[in-house]
Amino acid sequence: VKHPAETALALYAGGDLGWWTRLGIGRHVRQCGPCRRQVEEFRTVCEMLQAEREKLPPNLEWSEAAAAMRANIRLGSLSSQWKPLTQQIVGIPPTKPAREVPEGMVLIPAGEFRFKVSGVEIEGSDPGVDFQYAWEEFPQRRHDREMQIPSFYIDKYPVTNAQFKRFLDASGYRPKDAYNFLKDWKNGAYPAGWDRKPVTWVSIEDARAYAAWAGKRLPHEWQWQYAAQGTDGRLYPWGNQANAAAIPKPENGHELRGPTDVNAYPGGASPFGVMDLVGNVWQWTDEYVDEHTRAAVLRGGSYYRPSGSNWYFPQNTKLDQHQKYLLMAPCKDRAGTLGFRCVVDR
Amino acid sequence: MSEAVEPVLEDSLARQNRFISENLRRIFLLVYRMVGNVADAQDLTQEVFVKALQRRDQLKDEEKAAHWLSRIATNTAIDFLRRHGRLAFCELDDMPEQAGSSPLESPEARVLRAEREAILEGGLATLTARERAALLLRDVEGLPAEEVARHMAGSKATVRSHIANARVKFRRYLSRRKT
Repeated sequence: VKHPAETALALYAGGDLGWWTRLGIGRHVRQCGPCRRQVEEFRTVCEMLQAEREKLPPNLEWSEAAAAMRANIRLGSLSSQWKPLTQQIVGIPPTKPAREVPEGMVLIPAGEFRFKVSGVEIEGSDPGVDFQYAWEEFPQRRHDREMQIPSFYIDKYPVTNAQFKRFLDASGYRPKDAYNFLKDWKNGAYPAGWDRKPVTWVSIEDARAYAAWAGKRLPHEWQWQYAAQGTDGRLYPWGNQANAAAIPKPENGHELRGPTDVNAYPGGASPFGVMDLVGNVWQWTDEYVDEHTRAAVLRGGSYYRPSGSNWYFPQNTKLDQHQKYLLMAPCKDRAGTLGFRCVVDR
Repeated sequence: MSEAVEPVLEDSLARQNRFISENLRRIFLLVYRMVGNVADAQDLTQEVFVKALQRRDQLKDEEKAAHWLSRIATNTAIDFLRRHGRLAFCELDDMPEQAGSSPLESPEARVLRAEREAILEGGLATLTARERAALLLRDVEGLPAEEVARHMAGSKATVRSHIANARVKFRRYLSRRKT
């Protein structure tokens, strides 16, 4: 008797033969004990494998493994192509115009202004870094623009603790996300003797709320710079030379000593008489958004000068530089070195 | 933050997520049976989907896309096995006994399951990469031989010979274990 090949029996057992061959082998198998046993063993192999179809490996937590794989697949599917994301400025509605100079404010006359500024510590100069102003096609590190600036009023000093307290008392304002809000105050009051220090530990939202209550608004960055620089492109409010006597002493310890009274350094006045622009606290101005992130333009530079690496948020007192501050949430955005001042439209 | 772009973006993301969810387990198991260990299977599964998602045009017809995905998975696993030679199936021994075991499973059931796994992995380990791929697609995935041939980009005769040889080797492995 001629037995079929073992491979033919293997295919027969799995139903993988054409009908004619299958017929022939079937006839043989029915009559041949050893071949029948082989076929049965092949069927056991097939069934054993079929039974595995839905079975997961032992010791595998499928939901965890699947979640990890899904996340990695999503990451791996992102494009690696470099493409600058365009940004848009967050609009600031004008205030009710003021006919006379509001108390505590300085009139900034209309003027032609060369708005020239660049990011302090921005990685590289590729398209996509720093900010994109309305007249630019993509975000970039350096900016230079001739502007006609209409006149406006600006706070002579940054908003103080005393002013902010009046706002809280009058309005009952409490931020929804209050973590770190006025962190250096205790039980709703600023420390004794701090009434003339600039308010800090306020988010851009807190600052906007104050401004709205006061009938004011946050300045656009170019307004802030024009008020600080005048029209001669000077590097500091007082001129072109750095002057340690015109600003608070820089600090680089592990504790924040707190800002200085807003009127402590009259030598820091700008050509228009605006005070305390640089070296005491950073000041909130514009906000820009792109598809993924929000960032604010900070001006002024605080008294805190981190030591070690320039990659820490560096101190800056020059008027042709700004900082980009990534916004995360009010609780994370508030800082002990960050305050604000307001403007009013004419 | 262009509002007009978002619905389209979301739509394609949703489609992509559904495609992943519907096929992840199947592809993972296919790859796992091929390579024999979880860590490599996870990496390769991810690689398979990333490759597939690069060709979004292929994903429009869901049924075709699923087949196409299995083909990528098979080829990716075969390439991997070729690069790394035959793999040692060390996992069963290396894994701590308790980890991940279901509290509902009795110790006896666990031993049986481990033994069944060991037999399966041992049998698969005797096969070449292409034999293993052919056998898994045929007997675990239940694809007809023609379909397996399409997946593996080979002729039906070659694939049938892989399937036959694989079953022969597996059967011999089982009888060796019995004796």
